[in-house]
Amino acid sequence: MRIIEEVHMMLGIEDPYIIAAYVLSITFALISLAYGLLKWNQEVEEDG
Amino acid sequence: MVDTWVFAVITLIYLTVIFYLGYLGYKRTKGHDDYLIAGRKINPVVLALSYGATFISTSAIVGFGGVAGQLGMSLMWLTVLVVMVGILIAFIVYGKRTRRLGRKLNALTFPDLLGKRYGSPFMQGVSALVILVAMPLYSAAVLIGGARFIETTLSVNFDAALLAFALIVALYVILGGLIAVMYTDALQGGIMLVGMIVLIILAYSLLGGVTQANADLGALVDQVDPSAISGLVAGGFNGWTAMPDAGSPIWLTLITTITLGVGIGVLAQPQLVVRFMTVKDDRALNRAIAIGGPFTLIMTGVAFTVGALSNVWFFKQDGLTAMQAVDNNVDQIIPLFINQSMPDLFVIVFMLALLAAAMSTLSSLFHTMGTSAGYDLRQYINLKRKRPIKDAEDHAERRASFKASRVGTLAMIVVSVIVAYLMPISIIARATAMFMGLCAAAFLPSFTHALYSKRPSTIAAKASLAVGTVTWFMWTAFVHIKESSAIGLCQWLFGRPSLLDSPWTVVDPLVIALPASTLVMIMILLIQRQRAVIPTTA
Repeated sequence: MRIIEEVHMMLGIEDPYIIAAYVLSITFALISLAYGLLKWNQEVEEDG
Repeated sequence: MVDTWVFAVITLIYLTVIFYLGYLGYKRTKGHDDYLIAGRKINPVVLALSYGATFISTSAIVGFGGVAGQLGMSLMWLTVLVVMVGILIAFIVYGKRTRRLGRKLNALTFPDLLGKRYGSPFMQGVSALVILVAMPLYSAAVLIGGARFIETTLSVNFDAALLAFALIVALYVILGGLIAVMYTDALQGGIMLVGMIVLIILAYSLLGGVTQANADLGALVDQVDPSAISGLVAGGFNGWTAMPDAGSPIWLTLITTITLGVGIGVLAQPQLVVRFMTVKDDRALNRAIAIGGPFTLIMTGVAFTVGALSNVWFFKQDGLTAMQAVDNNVDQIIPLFINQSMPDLFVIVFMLALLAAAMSTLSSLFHTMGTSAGYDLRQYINLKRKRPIKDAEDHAERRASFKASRVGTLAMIVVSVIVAYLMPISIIARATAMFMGLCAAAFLPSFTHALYSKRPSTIAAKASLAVGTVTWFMWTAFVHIKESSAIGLCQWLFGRPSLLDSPWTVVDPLVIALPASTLVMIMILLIQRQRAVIPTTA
C-alpha cells in the first residue's frame, strides 16, 4: 500500500489499477531486458 | 502547418535510405528461401526491431492512442499484455520451438509450418485462406492510419496519400522479399523509437510535468461539459485516469476486444510467427527479447499515455475533450494533438516515425499475404492435383514459386488498397483487434499443439481451426453489435441487429471463439487417447 501511495504521489494518478498497469508493464519490460542480457552469450544446442 | 519543403526533403532522404535497403534485400534474395524466410540468417537486433515495428503500427499509435484519448489510461493494460505475452511468452514459449520446428521441417511460411507439421494440405490451404480473407482488413486499416496522418499534416488529398503510400511499400516488398522487409523494418523501428521517446518528453513538458499533467487529467472528468461525456459515463466511464466500472460495456470492450484481442492475438499472427524462423539459433531469439521488451513498452506506453493526456491540452486550449476536438473521429486525436501542440520540427520527426510504423507493418502484411497466395495456396492446389510433393524441391518449381509469391504480393496489395477505400472512419483500432482476435481463435490451439505435441493430431487441428474460424465469424456477424449492425446480415435475416442482448453484444468474438476452438481440440484429443488406450487394455 505504501508503494502505491508513493507511486500515486509521484505519478499523480489515484486509481490503483492504472498504477498497477504502469508498474507491471515496466516490470515486464525490465524482465525482458534482464532475460536477454543474461542469456546473451549462452551456448546454443545444435539443431537436430 | 509544417513547412512542406522541409518535410519533403527529409522524406526524400528517408525514402532514399529505404530504397537502398530494399535494393540490398533484392540483391541478397537469390531464391524463394530468401524471399520467404530471409535465408534464416537474420541478425537478432534486426529481428527484434522488425518484430516490434511490425507488431506496432499506426494502429497502435494512431488508432489505440486515439482510443486512449477517448477512454483514458486504462489502455495501459494492453501494454502489460503486449510486453508479457507479445514478447516474453511469444519468444520464449513459442519462438524457440517455432524456429527449431521450422528448420526441421523446412517450413517457409506459417501455413507451411502447420501443413507440414500436421502432414495436411488442408491445414496449409485453409490457414492461407483465412489469412487472405482477414488480413486485407488489417492492412487496409494500417494504410488508412498512414494516409490519415499525411492528409492532416500536409493537407494532401486522402485518396492520393493512400495510393502513393501503398505504391512505395509495394515496390520494395515485391522486389526485395522478407530481407528487404526486415532491413527496412529495423530502420523504421529505430526512427519510431526516437520519435516516441521525444514525444513523451515533449508532451509532459508541455503540460507541466508528469505529476501535474496526470493530476490535471484525473481532475478533468469533473471539469468538462457533462454532455460531452454523458454517453461514456453511461457506458461505465470514470475518467481518464481511472478504470471503467467492472462489467460495464466500456470495460467489456476494453478488456475483451482491446486487451485480450490484441494481447493474446499477437501469439498467432502469421506475419510475426514467420519471423521466429528467420534466425539461425536460439541465442538470436534471446538477444532479441532484450530489445523487444523495452521497445514494445515505449511504443505502446507512450502512445496510450499521450493519447489520454491530449485531453488536458485540448481542454486548456478550447475547453474541449479530445473527442470533441476531432468531432468523434478517434483516429484523428493523435495527429491533431501533434500538429497543434508540438514544434514543427518534431511534427516532421513524428510524421516520419508514423510513416515508418505504417510502412513496417504494411510491408510485413503485404509479404505474408503474398506468400499465402503465391506459395501456400499454390502448394495446396498442386497437392490437390496430386502433383508429387518433391516438385517443391525442383529448380523449376522453386523459380515458379518465387515468381508466384511476387505476383501474389502484388495482387494482395491491390486488394488492400481497394478495401482501404471502402472502409468506414474510426476503424483502425477495431480492424486491428478484429484481425488479431480471429488469428488467435483460428490458429492458436493448433499452433500450440503443433509445437508441443510429439504426435500432433491432424483431426483435432482441423476441427479446431474450423470451429475457431466459424465461431468467430458467426459471433461477429450475428452478436457483436458494432460489426453485426455494420454487416447487416443479422438485421436482414432476423429483423434485429444482434441475436443476443446486452452484455453479450459487446463481448468480443475472441472471448467466445478461442475457448470454443480450444475446447474442440481438447475433446478430440481426449477421445483419440481413449480410443488408443481401449484396444491395448482389452
